[in-house]
Amino acid sequence: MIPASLFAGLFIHFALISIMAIGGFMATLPGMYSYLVDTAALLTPEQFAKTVAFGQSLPGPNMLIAGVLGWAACGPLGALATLSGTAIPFSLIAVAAGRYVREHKTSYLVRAYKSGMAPVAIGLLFATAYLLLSGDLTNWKSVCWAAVVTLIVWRTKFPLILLIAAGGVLGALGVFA
Amino acid sequence: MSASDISPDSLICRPKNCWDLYISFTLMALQAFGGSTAIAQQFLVDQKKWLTQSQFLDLLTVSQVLPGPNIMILTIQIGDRNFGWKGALASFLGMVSVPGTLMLSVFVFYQQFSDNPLVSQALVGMAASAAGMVAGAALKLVYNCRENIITPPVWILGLVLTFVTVGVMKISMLFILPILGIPLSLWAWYRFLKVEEHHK
Repeated sequence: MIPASLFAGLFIHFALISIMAIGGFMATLPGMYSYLVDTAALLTPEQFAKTVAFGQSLPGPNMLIAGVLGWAACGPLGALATLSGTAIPFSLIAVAAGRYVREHKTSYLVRAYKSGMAPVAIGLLFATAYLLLSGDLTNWKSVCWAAVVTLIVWRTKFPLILLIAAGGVLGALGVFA
Repeated sequence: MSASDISPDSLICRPKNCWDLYISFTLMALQAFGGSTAIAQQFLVDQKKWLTQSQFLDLLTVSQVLPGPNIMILTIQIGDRNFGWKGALASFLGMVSVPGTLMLSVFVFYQQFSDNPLVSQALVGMAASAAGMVAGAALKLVYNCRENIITPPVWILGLVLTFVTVGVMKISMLFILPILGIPLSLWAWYRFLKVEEHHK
């Protein structure tokens, strides 16, 4: 069992981190790192990095990594605290914002916002793709593979899960090493 | 049947009930190994036909300025617009219950052999696939620029500036969203007013 104060601490910190984080789950990692590793000293830097890499290797939304970090730090109740702390605030905001946009979809404010932000939204996707590669942009083999996948996804309806699996198999065979 | 009845939007399917949402999003989440925007796009637009590409872009645009993971915001909003808060809850649980249980149970075993080099090499390949998937998803959405009120040159300029500042220069989105988003939205507003004036 973990003490109630620690449970509350995890919940509140992860809730605050989640509300502040615009730009997807990966943007919340620095905040989680600073609490779990620096402030509360529940994990070592190495444990933190390995836990995140593990979470990314399994299916499911990246948000679940918050739960795995909580488990690594304090067991099942830790996972419950970090997951609910992360999920509850943004879910309520998402429902409220979605309703507002639907109710005002003919207003100039909402239409101008959607039109103006659309190129930014797509630019962000290209930025994400770039960041996923930038760890090894000098690795021409993985860049070529990413380019092939881009073409397949763009021009066909080939099942994406097979593309992920193919990347994993090629990687395990040492093609990108 | 009027012309509006055969517009692409009216050919869209709907989830049958909350259970359908739960099962569908469980299946979608189990395919999401990174690059979840691409997975959601293929699943919702091509397979389920719950959204058109342009509706998908609308939801994505909204989700990117809200706090929280885009994919979760997207699914919660789809649940809410179909079945209210019950739908939102069903979508949320679909995304997290089975994948979360799976992830935590594997984690208990993983702690014993986390240093396996085969695993880390496979991860490099999967990340490269994910990068390609997200870029491909983005290219599919570029077509929507034709129906946007802001003209293509401005549209492409906004896209490229976002990519360069956030991706290449690694400037925080918290700065880039208002710096690029507000002028672009104001430009769109101005264009709407111009078009309306023209029709008068």
